[in-house]
Amino acid sequence: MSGPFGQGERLRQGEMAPARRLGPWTAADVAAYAAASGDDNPLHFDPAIAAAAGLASPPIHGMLLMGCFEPYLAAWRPDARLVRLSAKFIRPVLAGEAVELSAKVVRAGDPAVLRLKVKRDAELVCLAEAILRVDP
Amino acid sequence: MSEEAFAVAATEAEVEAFRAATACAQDGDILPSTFPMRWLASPAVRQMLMAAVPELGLVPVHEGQSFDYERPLRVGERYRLTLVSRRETEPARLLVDGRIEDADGAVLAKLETILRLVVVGEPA
Repeated sequence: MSGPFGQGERLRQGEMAPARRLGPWTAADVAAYAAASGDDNPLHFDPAIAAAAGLASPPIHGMLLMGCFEPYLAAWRPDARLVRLSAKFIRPVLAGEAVELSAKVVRAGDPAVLRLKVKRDAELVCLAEAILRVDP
Repeated sequence: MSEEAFAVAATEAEVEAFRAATACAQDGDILPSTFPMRWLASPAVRQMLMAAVPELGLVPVHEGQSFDYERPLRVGERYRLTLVSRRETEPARLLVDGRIEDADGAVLAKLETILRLVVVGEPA
């Protein structure tokens, strides 16, 4: 395991995973996720439908964003097991945009609770929570 | 409110494609935590969900999602996915609760999906 943590070490209050830049996602990335997930909602492909929904251009799937959370946490703490993951999609992320993902332990112990934030510049676009168990 | 159950499973190829699309470097036979979304997009599930939203001119916008795992799900295993959907108004939403059970009926995972229904065209 890489990183400063020993195998099985509990997550500590206030610990933070290094922030990671995600994206920008291309139209091809969105198409690949649509094919892999089966979610072909035209909102993500049709500029006219996106415009009718009040968006400047088609957004990426919220689940494409959420799908990045588990790999992010696993890269930080490969010894931890995800038992709950939840997300609120606050603002759409448009294709071509990049965001920053960060995570902080807000309740230590086993399981530990982490708050994940996704920001586009200073704007919060997604707020999530992960519950992790660290097997000894 | 409607409830329906579906037989689901994940092939190695499906999981590989899903991992590639979400830049998930993990391997092994455990499904990515968000993989069950693929089952929600299957034709049978879609038919159930579309029946709950018969109006034309609405598109779903994902507002919230959660997954709770008692045990990991694995490639090649067969599961029973039971979904309960219900509508909310003002604002218009479709809420979907799901549970995933093994062959013995043990609940391995639960999920909740919140879709905001946005008008993008003239209602029929």
